[in-house]
Amino acid sequence: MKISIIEWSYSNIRGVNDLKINLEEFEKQPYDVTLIMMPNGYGKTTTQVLLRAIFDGGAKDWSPDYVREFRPPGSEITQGEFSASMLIDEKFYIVKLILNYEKGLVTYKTVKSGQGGLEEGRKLPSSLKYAFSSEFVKRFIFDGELAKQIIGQESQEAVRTIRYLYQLNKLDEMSNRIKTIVKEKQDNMKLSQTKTEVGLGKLRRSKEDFEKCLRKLKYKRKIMSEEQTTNAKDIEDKREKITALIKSDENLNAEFERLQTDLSNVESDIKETSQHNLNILRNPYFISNKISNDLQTLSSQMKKLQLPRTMSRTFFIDLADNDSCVCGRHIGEGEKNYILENADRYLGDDQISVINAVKNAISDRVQSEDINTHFTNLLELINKRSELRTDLDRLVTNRNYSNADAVKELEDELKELEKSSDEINNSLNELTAKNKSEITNLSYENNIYLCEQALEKEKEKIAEATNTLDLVKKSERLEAYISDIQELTMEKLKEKIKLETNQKLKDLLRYEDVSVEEIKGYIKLKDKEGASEGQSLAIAYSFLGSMFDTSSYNLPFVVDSPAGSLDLSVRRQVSKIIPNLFDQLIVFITSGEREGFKEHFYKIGDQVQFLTINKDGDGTNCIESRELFDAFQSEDDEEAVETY
Amino acid sequence: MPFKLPKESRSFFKPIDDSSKNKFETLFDKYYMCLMMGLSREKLGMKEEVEPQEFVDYYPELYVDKKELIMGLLINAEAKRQGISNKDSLEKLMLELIDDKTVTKLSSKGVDKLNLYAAGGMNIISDQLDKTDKLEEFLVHYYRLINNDENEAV
Repeated sequence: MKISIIEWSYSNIRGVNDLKINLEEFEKQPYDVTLIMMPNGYGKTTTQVLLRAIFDGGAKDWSPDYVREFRPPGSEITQGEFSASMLIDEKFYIVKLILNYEKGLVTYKTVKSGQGGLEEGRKLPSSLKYAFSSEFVKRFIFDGELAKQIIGQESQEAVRTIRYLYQLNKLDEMSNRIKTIVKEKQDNMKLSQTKTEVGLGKLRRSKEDFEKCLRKLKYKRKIMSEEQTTNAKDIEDKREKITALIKSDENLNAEFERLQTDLSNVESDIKETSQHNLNILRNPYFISNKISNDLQTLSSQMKKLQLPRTMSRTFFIDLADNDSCVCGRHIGEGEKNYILENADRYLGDDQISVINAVKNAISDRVQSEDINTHFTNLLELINKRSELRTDLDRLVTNRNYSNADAVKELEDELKELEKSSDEINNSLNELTAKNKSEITNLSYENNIYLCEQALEKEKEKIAEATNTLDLVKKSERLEAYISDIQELTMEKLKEKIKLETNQKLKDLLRYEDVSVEEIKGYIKLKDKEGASEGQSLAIAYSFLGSMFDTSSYNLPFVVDSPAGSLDLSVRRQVSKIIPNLFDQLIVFITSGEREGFKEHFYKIGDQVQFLTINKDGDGTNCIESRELFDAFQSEDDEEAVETY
Repeated sequence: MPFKLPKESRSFFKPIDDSSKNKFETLFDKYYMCLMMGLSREKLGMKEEVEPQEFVDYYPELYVDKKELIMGLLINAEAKRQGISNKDSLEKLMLELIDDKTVTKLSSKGVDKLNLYAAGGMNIISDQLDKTDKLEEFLVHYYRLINNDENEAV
């Protein structure tokens, strides 16, 4: 992807105020090299910051105070603008930064070729938009000081530059995203917090315990059911035997049968009557006169007090929304607030309907029968049963038949069997209960349903933990692959860039024996403890140029003070090197840095554009002229010369 | 909002559950017997006398159509207990005890109060009635107790 800068302009920006800098040699074809003479204090640093913001989109995060720092000093202007025109793969883009000094906000706008007017936002091709991180952009809207760091022995800048220009940092972002996904999954675990194999093992053992317990309970149910069947059969046998023995006594047989039948009938009547009476008691209205009187009194009191009120909370809330009251008076803000504050004292519509339901329920009741009679009947039945039992006991006690002992023995056995049957029934009920009310005091250890539920829960926990652990394992594997890819890619890139850099050095420093041995965090030179300052910068720029050559982006290189405060011989070396390294080179320079640096560019001739930024009474001008560039002397430099 | 049994109720009614085929149909029957006794006498039990866990959180089918009457009795008992008779105070009490958005139509406070009345009723029952293993005997004695003042004849 090829990107070149065609032009940029300032409007109400600190240092330059209003200015346009055009870099075109032909229409939409910039010069290979542009040297911009820009004295200190005219906005060199500002320009670099704004250009970086055009590419990395970082201005939206600037603080309001920082944004206001771009306002020309002493000015009350409310808005500034910085705009850059560029070609991206032959397509024309203008990106504008609109700086609102009042609010301290920056907004982006974009014009794309063939698409008419301004669009809100920074609408670069999406592949660039996401590739241009601030670290990436720093490597081509370049600070001359970074060049020194590339060869500094304590520095990691060489490797950092490779990482950002080849976007290996995107692999870090991928790793971080994987970590985030795993963490989210772990944080969202609902059933357990198991995050390790050991924890999963514990869950599995716990599940096995539940399975074991369930098998035990089901086995117990089977055994008890069998016992119950056997018991029922035994009970039936005993009863038949007792009956047979008693029947064999001709004298007592008829009486015994009659009493037994009567007792059975009374028992049945008692059961029926008590269930009927229980059902009567289930109605609060019938349970006692006091309760029915209480309900009537409540109903009367509600009628007397006119409760619930016919006006509900909703009425007052609706009323507060009106301009005037039902009485015609105006409802102002004060009245409205008062009505709303007091509306909560009234019942809501739904609450009113509940109260009305209570009222209706009471008034619908009619006590039509005498409840006492039902309980008198029940008491009579109980008394009758008692009498029948006494008669039966007397009959059994007084009977004088030959097999009385055998009957007695059978009856004792029958009692034991019935007791045992009751116990089995209770245990079975406990074991098989499912209703909420029945299982309240039971646990998974004595109830099949609860045990099945606990087992199911444990299975769900295991499934969830297994899923998460599986994800953790896969993510670790993926992160290891990413790390390997990063490492291998970095090694290959280092080797490739080293070879390219050495080739460039060979061409540029033909008579000097300088080459790169290894790219570590910094660039290690072959057979040298150190290099001269000029050689160092030559190596650093060769390294940068090599990367730009091999990168998939063909980018402009914008650099401030590339030769800095170096002596003249070093400036000459740097000036010879850098034009050959980049397709578009834009250099900011001051008159104090010109000597030694300019000569090589004068020799190149037509491919170089010389611009001078100058201030006069009308404002700031950009003049394209090699002569002016050569003659220009900034006030700072004049003062420096005079002081010297 | 859950119904909670008085703690003593399970042991009191256990003989009936254990020995007889003539039993209460639901656990709510036992709760209801205690509740009616407590509401009738306007007697609140203590929080500690109520089981911590719920046994059911809705009215069982047999009692669904009685919920308005139970609510009325609760309002009546609380109004009497608090000495409330004027319109505003009674309406405020209703607002506190009623919640039209719950299944029981009672607020959390309303159900808590109901549980305390059941505990109060259980205290009266266990003080006044002997444990029995026969439902029919319990019913007769209970009916006699709750109508104590007017039904000496039963």
